[in-house]
Amino acid sequence: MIDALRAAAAAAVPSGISVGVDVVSVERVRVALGRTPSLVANILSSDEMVSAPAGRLAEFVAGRWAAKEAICKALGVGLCQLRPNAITITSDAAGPGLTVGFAVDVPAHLSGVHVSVSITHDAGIAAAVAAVVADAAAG
Amino acid sequence: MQQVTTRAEVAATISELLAELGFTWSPGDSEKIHVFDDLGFDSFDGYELVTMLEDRFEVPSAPEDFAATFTMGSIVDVVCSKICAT
Repeated sequence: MIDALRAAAAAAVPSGISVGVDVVSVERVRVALGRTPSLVANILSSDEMVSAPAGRLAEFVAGRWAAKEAICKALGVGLCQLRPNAITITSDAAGPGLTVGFAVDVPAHLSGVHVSVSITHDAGIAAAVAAVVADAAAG
Repeated sequence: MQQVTTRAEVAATISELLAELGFTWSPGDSEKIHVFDDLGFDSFDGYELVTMLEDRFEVPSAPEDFAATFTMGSIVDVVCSKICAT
C-alpha cells in the first residue's frame, strides 16, 4: 500500500503541483455527529481532538473534513486509502496559516510531497482548498 | 454488541443503518446496487456508514477493507467476512 500511495501521489503531481477542493454543510455535519458520535474520532486526529473547540465542534469537524477531502483529492487517493484521522491540520502559531501532518505510519506514503491547505467558513458552509507540491528529488 | 451471525441478518442491519442516513435499500433489492451511482452516496455518507458499521458490529475496519466496496452486496460481504458464523 505504501508504494501504491507513493505512486498515486507522484502520478497526481506530474508537473509538480496538484490541487483539490471540497465543501460540506456545517449543519449536515452537526446532524451526523449527533447520530454517530464516534465519527468525531474517525475524522479528527488525536491532536485535533484536543484542540477542537467544544462550542464549535460541528464547524471545526466540517472544516477539517473538507480540508482532508481536498488533500486526498489533490493526492489522488481515496479516504479509504488515507483515513482522515491520520491527517493532522494545526494552526500556525505565528499567523493564519495551517500546517499539515500525517500519522507516524503514513509519512512514508507521502515523503515526496508537500501539502498546503486553506479552510474557510461562511453561510453554514465549510470549504477547503489543498495544494500538493511534489518534491522533485523524490520523483 | 449486537449478535449477528448470518448474512441475512447483516444485510437487514445494514438496511436499517442506511435508513438512518436517509437511503433506501432492502435485503430483497439487488445487491448490485451501487452506493454512489445508484443510492447517491457521497464520501461523507460512505465514511459515516463505515463508522456506523464499526459501532454496530464492534469490529474495526482496516482502511482498505472498503477501498473497492461500492455495491450493497460487497458491503454485506465485507461485514459478514468479519462476523458471520461459518
